[in-house]
Amino acid sequence: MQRSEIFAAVRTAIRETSSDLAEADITENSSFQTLGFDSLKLVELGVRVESLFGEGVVLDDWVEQESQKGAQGFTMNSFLDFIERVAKK
Amino acid sequence: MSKYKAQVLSSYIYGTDVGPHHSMGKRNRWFHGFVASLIEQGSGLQEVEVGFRQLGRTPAEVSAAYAECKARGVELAICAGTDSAIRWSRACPDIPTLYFGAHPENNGLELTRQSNVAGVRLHLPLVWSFENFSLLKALMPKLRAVYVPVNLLSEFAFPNVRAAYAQHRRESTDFWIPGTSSWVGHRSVQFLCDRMGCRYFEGPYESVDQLVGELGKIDGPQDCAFIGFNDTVLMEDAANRLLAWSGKANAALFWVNNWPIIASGGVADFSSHFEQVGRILGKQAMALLRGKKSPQEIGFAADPGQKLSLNLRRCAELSLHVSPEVRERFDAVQE
Repeated sequence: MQRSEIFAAVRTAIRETSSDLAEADITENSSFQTLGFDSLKLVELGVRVESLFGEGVVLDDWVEQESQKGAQGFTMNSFLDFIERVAKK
Repeated sequence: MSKYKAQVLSSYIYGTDVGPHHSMGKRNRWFHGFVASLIEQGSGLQEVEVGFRQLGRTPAEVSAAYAECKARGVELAICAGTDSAIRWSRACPDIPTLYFGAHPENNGLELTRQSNVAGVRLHLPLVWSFENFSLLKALMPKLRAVYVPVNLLSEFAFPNVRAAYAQHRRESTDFWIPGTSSWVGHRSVQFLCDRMGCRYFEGPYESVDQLVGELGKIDGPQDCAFIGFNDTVLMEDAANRLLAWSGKANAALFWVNNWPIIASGGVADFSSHFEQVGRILGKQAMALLRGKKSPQEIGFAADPGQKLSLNLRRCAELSLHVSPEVRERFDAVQE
């Protein structure tokens, strides 16, 4: 799956998780913090992403990785990198 | 806008600095299963707003939590674990409550008769199945005794169990109560040990120092299995000290329903399959909230399964040979 296809699927999952983002401009440079994603919304997004890309894409692993990055963490770019990497396995 | 308000209440909600068990609820993925179930039913956390709260220990704290839930219009409480469920059910006679938890001797089942309580009654995979229990011997062929610490200050030390321990203390100064005693609390574990050909000891403790001190008096702990239940994580620092002691003493630590502790230095964890438990809770929650069913109509679902996990690195440190047949019995193996 191409990165652009992954991004399109993720964008849909984000909007299903948070309907107030229906009209929001979600780009690869967006951060989940600015999109208003707290830890609970990330769980729901994780469930949706697992069902899209397979059980191997465990969002907990990405959340753990991003938590170490401080203010630089939880970006869309990093999220897409993670899915690309894990979904290939 | 959320349509329904749900509140998770548990004794097992922590900050990140308490020890490996802080991530227990996250790692066992019960909430993940719960949310997956909501989504399957066309719902999600936008419709069901979920809050998490560590339930206080005193009756006043629990009553305050109940009053706050009433004031906020909480329509569903979810009690993760027996300890919180026992205290919550005393204070809350009306908010529909889903409970998932267990006790080795089925103590505490009175709460299942309370009209506002339903949920999932869990097994304890290590001690409710000889097939699982015998894995201790398969991993430790020289196993001669099993030790179980019991936290006297948690709800798991039920009144009948406390009374039995008090009788033991009147007769003996020995800290470790042998399984053959009339005053042992987890009688069923004695039978399992008897069948497996080893001895059983139970250690009711009131402080971490007392527990660690008495563990230090055991001769040859290398040929014994030490089993933690989650009552021990309810005493501050007890799980960490037990883990540290087992590391220093080259002792084999096992746990029931808490893989993060075992991943940090124990041998094996025997858990319920919490993700599947969460899925059942999700269905029950929607039946209560959307379906307007009563908790009594929902009742209690059976434990949906188990997840056994093995820490191979710790096995190697303790020179425990893990045969392919034994390894295969575990659902998850940490290299």
